[in-house]
Amino acid sequence: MSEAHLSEKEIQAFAIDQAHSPVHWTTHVNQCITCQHSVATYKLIFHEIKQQPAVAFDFDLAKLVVAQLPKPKAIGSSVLLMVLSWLTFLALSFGAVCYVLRGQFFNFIVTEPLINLLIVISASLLFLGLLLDVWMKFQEKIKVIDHIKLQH
Amino acid sequence: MRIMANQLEDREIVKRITNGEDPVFAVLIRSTEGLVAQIMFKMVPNAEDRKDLAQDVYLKVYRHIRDFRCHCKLSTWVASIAYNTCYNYLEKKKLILPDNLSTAENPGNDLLEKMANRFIDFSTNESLANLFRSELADVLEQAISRLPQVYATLITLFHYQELSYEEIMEITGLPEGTLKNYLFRARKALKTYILLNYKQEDL
Ligand SMILES: [Zn+2]
Repeated sequence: MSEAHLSEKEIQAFAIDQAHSPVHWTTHVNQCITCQHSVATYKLIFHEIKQQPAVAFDFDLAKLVVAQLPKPKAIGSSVLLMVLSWLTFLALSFGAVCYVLRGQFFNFIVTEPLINLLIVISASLLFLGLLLDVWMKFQEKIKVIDHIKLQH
Repeated sequence: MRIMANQLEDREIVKRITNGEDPVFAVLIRSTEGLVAQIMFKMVPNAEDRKDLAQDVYLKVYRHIRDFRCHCKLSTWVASIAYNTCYNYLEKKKLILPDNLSTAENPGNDLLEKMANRFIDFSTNESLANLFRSELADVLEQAISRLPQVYATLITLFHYQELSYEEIMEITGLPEGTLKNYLFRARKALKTYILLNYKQEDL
């Protein structure tokens, strides 16, 4: 036998995948009892590892975990409620102001048309601004809720 | 309708779980908990801790499932979360076994020969083979339990689960050279332990 023994690394590689080992390893192992024994011992160990019984959890993991998952919230209805509350609040406030100032208000409209126009425009802009604000906050909240939903 | 995990593509599973389909998540748990158990039993010795950590692993999977990218299998990704959770637990509890694999001890050729002859006897004497196998199974179990947890896990993933180097690298985050070196050292330690054990028992 001309060649030296296979190294421990080569013996392991040969025991794992003989078919794809270099031909000169096979030639050597076929002629060398020491390397044959080493290969056989590794093969025995690998074979025995595969025979080990499978380990398993002794509890219903899926059931335990699914019970802890966050429950989805009724996002649509809560947001709708928030928007309606805002609109109701604005309508009631406007109504209350009109009621309290009803005497002065109508006199004012008749006597000072230019100022009235400015007031109406300002009030309308203010109202639109508030609506826009509500809409933007609504979008932000949706984003936050979506993000929280994904986190859980 | 019962949903089978293998009927669903990884991408589809992820989509349905992010849409809040909890039964699909339960299917994912049931289809991957075997692999997760293999990792956890090798890394976490305490059964109660394993129970807590296993739940922790899948809650993390649920929280981060949107981060899953399909460059690896979903099961491999779940296994990597399990491995990292166990590793962090071991580090936190200072339970990581030192790499004490001595390569100085050489069992000698005579033992190798006896061991190999027993292996060859398998084909000629069935009752002897069965007796030897049950003894060997016990000794092997002891040998694996004496390995550092990471080495024992690598041995299980490679030789029991038959995962590829690429998949084990994905799970453990170990570079290829380190992984191969650890596996080499672990196999050699198993061989040495088993041969020396048979020496003591006067094989
Ligand atoms: Zn040789």
